[in-house]
Amino acid sequence: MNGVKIRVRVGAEQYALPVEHVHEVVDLGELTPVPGAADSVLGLHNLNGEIVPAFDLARILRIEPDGHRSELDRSKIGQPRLLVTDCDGRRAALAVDEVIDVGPLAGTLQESESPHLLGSTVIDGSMVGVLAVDALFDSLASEDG
Amino acid sequence: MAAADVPVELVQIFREETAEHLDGMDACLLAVEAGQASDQTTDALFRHAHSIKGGAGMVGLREAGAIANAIEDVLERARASGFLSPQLTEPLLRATDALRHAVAGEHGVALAVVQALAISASASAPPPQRAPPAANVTPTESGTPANGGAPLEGAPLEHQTVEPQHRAVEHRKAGGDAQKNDVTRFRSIRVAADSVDRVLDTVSETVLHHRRLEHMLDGAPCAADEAIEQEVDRGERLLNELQETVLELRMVPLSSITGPLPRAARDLAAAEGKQVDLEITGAETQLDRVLLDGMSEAINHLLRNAIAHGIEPPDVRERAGKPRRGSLELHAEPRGGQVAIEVRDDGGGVAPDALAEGVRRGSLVDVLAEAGFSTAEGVSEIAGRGVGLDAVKRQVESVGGSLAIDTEPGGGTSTTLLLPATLALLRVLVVKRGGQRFGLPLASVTEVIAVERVMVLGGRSSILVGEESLPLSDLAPVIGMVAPDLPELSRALVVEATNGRLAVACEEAIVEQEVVVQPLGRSLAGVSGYLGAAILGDGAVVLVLDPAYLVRRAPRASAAIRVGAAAALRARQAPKILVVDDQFTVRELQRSILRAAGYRVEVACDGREALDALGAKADFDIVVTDLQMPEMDGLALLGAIRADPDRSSLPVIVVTSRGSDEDRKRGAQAGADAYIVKDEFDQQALLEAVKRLVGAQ
Repeated sequence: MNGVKIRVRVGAEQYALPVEHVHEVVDLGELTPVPGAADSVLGLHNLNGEIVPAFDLARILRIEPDGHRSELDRSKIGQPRLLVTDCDGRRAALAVDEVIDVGPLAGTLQESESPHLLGSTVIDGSMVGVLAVDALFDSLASEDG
Repeated sequence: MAAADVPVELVQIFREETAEHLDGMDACLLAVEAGQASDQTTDALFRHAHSIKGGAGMVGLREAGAIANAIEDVLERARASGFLSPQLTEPLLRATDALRHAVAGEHGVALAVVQALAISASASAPPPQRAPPAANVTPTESGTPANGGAPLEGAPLEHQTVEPQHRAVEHRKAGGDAQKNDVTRFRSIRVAADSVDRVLDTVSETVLHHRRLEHMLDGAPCAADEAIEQEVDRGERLLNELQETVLELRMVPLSSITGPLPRAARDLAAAEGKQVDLEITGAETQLDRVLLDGMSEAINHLLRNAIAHGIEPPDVRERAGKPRRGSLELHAEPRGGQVAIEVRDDGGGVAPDALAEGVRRGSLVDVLAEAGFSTAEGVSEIAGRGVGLDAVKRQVESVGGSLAIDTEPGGGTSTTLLLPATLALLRVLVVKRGGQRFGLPLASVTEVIAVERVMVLGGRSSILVGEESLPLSDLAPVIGMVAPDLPELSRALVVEATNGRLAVACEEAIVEQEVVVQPLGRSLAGVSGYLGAAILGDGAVVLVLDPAYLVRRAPRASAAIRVGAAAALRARQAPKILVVDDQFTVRELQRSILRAAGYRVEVACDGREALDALGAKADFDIVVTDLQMPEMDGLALLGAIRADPDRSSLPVIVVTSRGSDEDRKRGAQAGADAYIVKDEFDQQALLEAVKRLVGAQ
């Protein structure tokens, strides 16, 4: 698997995004909720004057509550963050429970059935899903209230 | 293709100018066809063709030059004979089409058109007259030989190469041939639209930056220096001026997109076997260019609809006692801060079943926008079904405008687009519901009133606004928000869009502000109800509500409105307060503050009077009293109230200048529910205490 990735924790699971898609990592901060939007929409974020919609990555990936997590984990030691992500001229912020590290992923990529994943690999005994950012963005648009 | 060494910008300018000239030619030719031409019409046509020819030569578009030359030849003969045959309009219109293609850079369009023109020209030579000798023809127009031979390579181009530069400034004053253009031409410049947009964006950002600065100054721990405040005020005035100037730069008249419409209407009508006259009025009405770009398509669609579905075939019209030619009107006018664009036809009107359905559903627009309903029996090639109207509606609503349709069976249909004049900055009223702030375009809010006099009928709430009763909806369910019941003393916003009027209840209306509205973007495209989002002066993001959506959606989303615990019943009667103080100014100040907040207020000068008032009327909800008073002081009054079994739970707020802890303790022991010190008196503290206690009753 080539290229530098940002490895994140979502609930009890780990995912990685190609770093070239990630414009900025910011604190969760205040989000303005959007009534009428899908559950995965956490709200709107003010990114230096630009308004960016923020999505809950866990809900997009449909990580079940038994992944030790029912909603965004603001209380734990891990720092919830927004990954400001770009794809095809679109920008969205993806909320994760923690950014673990940034670097090349070791191991070989194995195929995955999930439409949101390019594949998965194993690091330190944990499965890490490598996200297909374009597929992820496509499902953002299709999930409306 | 343009010559390689001609700057791209110059070719672009030539294309824009040529488009205007071609629109002008089409308009003239339609007049000729309709038999309304004069000598000036031929002259005007000639001038347009001549300008195009000159320009084409300059930028090296030889085919365009050749077509323009051939047109010029035909017109030259007509000028010489003083007669332009209506039979020539069709080939000339085709030639203008070919010119459009050639100017766009297409190849191989010239030859056929040039030949066709030559044939038509000789076939429709004016019956009685011989062409006069060429030498006599052009005393004023310089260097245009009237040789009928139509040379494909426009030889005499050198003579006209200076011409287009004059025309570049002149073109807007259509037909204006006055000398003054030589003087005024340096007073206007062409600027790329993108540059204006960038300036405007920067100005808008600067305005917001300024507002943040003000906000920070307001919140500064020590009061800001007066000199600084003056400078900030001055900055605001300058910014306002700058902003207005830049906004004006972006304003263009509707006429900038109406040029091709008469021609398009004629062609569409001809394809449908109909006859239509399009009249355009109010074309000088100014709109934001960005907005107009988007509306061009919508207006086209409405015209197409009117021609295909509205206007009847000539025979049908005749039988109905109407003139054979249908009439179509495009009218624009400023309306307050908005612009109304109306397309009106004198056709058959909307089909009765659609009309009935519209009445049933409360919105004809919605019915027509759904596929399947059409004003015409069949589905014609041109307009399809109502599919297009749906697109128009979405387009209009996406910029915060609204769409209305008015129709009369047999008498025609009128469709009105109501648009904001500018998109860049929107004045919004910031309101609060469920603790969240929202923006609502101020232009759509006609009134803000207290939620009282609420009536419920059949599970639906209404509110009296003046003499009129309006449906009242809670904002929360309308936009799909889960929020606690509205508190008492909620506010109702009277919202008006073209699709109707209603009152929307929220907790409070906070402030007016100018904001830059940003679209929610593709990822949230499925969410409706919002024009977009904006950043307020304090940096917070708010959603900007879509008034048309509220009006459309509210009747479906809301059940009876729920205000506080006892709901509508109590909201009809605002809580009643007894204010007790021996000082006239204090009493009146409190009375005015409380009344402004919507409460009913009575006053008493001391404890004795207060007890009398309480005894006489049992409907007081709360008492606000001073401590030190003659006759009977506040503590004694408090004691008397608590001792009376009927009134022992009546909330009492003690307001006094005695701020010591000892007093506070005595007040509390005597049973005061709240204690406000006059030295620190602020009306917010009083209102909050009253609100808390009356709500907790």
